[in-house]
Amino acid sequence: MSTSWGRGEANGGRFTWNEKTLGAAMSLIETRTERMVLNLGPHHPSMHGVMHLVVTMNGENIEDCQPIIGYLHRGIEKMAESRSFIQFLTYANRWDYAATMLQESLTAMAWEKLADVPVPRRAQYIRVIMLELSRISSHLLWLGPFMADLGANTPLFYIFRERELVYDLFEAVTGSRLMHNYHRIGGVAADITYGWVDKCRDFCDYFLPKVDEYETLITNNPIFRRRVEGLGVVSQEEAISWGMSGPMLRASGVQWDLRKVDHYSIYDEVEFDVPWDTRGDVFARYVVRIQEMRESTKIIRQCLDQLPGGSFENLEAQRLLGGPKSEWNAPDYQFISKKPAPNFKLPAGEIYVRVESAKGELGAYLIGDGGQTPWRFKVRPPDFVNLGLIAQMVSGSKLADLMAILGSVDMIMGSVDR
Amino acid sequence: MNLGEGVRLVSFGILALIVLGGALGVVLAPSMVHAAFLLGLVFVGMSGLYLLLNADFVAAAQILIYVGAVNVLLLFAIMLVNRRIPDAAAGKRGLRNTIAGFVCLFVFGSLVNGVVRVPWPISTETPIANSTLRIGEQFFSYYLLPFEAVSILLLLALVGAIILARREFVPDRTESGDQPLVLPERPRAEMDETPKLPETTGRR
Amino acid sequence: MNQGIDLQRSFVELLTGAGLPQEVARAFWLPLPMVVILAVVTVAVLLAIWGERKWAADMQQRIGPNIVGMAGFLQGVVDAIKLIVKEDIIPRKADPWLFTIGPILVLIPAFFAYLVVPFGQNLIISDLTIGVFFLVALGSVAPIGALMAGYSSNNKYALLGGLRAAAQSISYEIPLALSVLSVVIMTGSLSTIAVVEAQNTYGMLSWNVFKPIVGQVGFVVFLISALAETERAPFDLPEAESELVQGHHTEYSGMKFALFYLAEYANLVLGSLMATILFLGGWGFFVPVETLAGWLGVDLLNPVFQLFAAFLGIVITVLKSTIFVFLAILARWTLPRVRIDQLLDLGWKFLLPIGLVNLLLTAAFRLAFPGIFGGV
Repeated sequence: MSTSWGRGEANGGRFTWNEKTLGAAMSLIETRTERMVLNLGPHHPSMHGVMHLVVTMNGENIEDCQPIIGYLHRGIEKMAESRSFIQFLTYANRWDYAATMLQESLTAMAWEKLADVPVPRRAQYIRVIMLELSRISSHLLWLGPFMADLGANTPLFYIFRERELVYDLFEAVTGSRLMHNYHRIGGVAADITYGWVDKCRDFCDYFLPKVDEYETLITNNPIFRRRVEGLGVVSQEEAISWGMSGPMLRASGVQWDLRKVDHYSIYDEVEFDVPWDTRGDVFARYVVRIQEMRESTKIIRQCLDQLPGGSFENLEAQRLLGGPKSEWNAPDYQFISKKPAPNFKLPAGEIYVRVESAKGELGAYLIGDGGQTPWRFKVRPPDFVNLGLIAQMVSGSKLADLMAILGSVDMIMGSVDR
Repeated sequence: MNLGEGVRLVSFGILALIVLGGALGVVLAPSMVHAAFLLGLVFVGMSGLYLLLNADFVAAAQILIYVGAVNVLLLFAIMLVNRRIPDAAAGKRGLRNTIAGFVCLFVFGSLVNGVVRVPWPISTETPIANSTLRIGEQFFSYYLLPFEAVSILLLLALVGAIILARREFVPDRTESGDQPLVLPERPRAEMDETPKLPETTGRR
Repeated sequence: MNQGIDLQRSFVELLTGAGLPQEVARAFWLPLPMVVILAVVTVAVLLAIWGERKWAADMQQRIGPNIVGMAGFLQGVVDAIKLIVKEDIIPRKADPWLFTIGPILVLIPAFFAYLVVPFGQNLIISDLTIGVFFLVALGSVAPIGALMAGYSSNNKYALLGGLRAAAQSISYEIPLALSVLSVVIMTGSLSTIAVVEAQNTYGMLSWNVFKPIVGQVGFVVFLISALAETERAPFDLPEAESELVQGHHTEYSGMKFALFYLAEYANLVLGSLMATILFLGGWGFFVPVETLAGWLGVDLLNPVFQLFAAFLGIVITVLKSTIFVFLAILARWTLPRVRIDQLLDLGWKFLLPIGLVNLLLTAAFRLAFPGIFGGV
């Protein structure tokens, strides 16, 4: 009685859901629960924006899940084709509005690599500090909503407490809290401000205990552990073959970090570990991200110590002291190599650059044709690729698990849809 | 007739109305869910009748078991299992209803006959204050065997329910299945189609 | 039993003194307790909401409501007014009758249950002989309202929420009833007054929570089950906003939503009061009232002392239940939500066996040590 249902009628054991099996099953088993198709999103509290999942459920169990994306598509890549760098930078901020500096940096790097513009070491250090701050802010903005997805609302307020400080740091340098518009071809728009280095150090001193605080609140909570352990497991092979990157990949036991692999910018000059885990489940991703926040703080501290020219107070005083011939006017101590002209022309050619963003490998493919605007600009958003496995990860789990898994992917729909 | 008796009479009238109306509704309501909710109303009315008879424990037990457990489970099953029953026998409805009506009338008639004919003795004993204690004592002395028999019956039902519930209904997902589960409401094929854009008005 | 303040008798005597027949006087008395219940519960709910907001704000390092009334004290009133004047929307495809009855059905049992909650020797609306059982029975009715709301909304989230509410409520009724039963065994009566009085013979020491082993186990089982019965985090699965938007509340607005809201907090306060009555000695002070009267050197039947004792009883009851309200709020803003299967596992595979063993132990202890466990 039950076997004919369990195996399905047609296709030699493979189950198909058609009128025939439906009718047969209905007459055989009276206690069959009716499948329910649930449209989660695009407007749903935990869909991180406008993700749309069509979930087929049997009671509370998910049998099938189909993601539908594109609700936030703004054609940013196409827009790039009609804009110069400085015009486009404001759009680059807006793919992933949780970690804006990373996009800016990527865009700047693409232009620089293609046009072969050198970047002063001081500018590179400033950039790395900003990138790591941005990574921290992105991970924080992952942690809060992730916990809210699991039903714990309080961490959301804690993370914003810290995130505000990161914003303050950004604001002091760039003038804006969220959409910074700070990178330029060959450097950054402005040097760091008076006292910023101390301020940033203070933040590092303040932030690490706060990460411990999150861990005491969350990590060993038995409810949390039972909700996330062994959930949404992605094996090493799967993770690689699906092209995952970032914390998702590292949580599956692959020690792959572009900061170490590509040796870009000045990441070789600072010492940090790449957190990784072999469990591949939601909890592993949580552990990796928490650890990455600590590592980022470590990087920021080292960068602040090694910053060529030191703090802005020091640099300015030395320059005044040394006069026009001061050694502190050397190219390494500049925040930008040479102010690019507004009609900066991209040379003909193509290039693929990538950075390790908070979510994984953030890549850009740039083709120039000698004009002011790129001929083609294509982004490889990490969360879009990481999201590819979502249907497979959630099938067979409960509805509540779907939120935990989706939260653990850490996607920003602006970045997925662009 | 003093105030207390008057209240009792009016209460009885209202409760009887609730029970009878609810019972009729259970039978006649076109929607199964409505019928189930009305059944809950009937149970509540019954418990009110028990209260009128000074059987407070039985009344509360009626609420706890029939309304809180039986009716909820009934609703649960209806909502989870078959929310929309295809009315296959719509054509034969009139005939079926007629037959059912006759059977019901017959049963009702015989019951009324019984009620009217039996000389009901009216107890003159004062109602006991603490019926709970009395019920418990009776259960564990005079009615021990039926009590245990019912317990075993319930246990059997419980085990049977578990066996039924443990069956796997979910089809095994085949990894190589190129034909995935088709969504009953919104077929996958339909969704994968590129949406047809309206004709452009020439201005482009 | 000592002669305490009997409000009903005094009221009836007052009216008969004014020349009314006794039955008419009684009839006048009838609606008063209901009005008192409505007022007390509503005020308690508003206080609980205010407490939750302020405490939650403290936990989250925010300020919370601080504009309306002193420290936002009247925010709940303002919210209630807003909900009352808000447009009451019934979705076009909803079942209008069930949609309307649902919230009422959720609310009524919550208010009814306050009938048997004692605040003092005679400060109870009606001392039913089956008081505790009455509470448990009423608690079992609430899922009907949730199911009704869930079904009639014609919304999948609502339906899932209603089903979850029903499953959860049924599962946790049993451990709840078992832990209550162990208290009943120790008391030997189902009346709430008797339950409290049995705990106040030696003051604090005879509270049920301090009965060796069975008291504590029963208390923990009761707390978890009661928290699950009130459907609050970490057991707020029926309205888990990250999964089901708002569960069976999704389609509700205006006054109907306010009824759900009211019922949720009424249940929270009720659960806390139940915990107080069943395990923490109800209105009992840390020392018995007789001893207190001895200390103060007044007669137990002194009217002023009676008034003082009644006042003390109310204050103590409220304070004790505030502890539980606070605990529930603390849990809600600290813990993540459990999953539905974990919730049911906890209920059926952990609390139920423990509750059963606890019940058996209580019965055995009562036979073995009748002095401590309230034997005859």
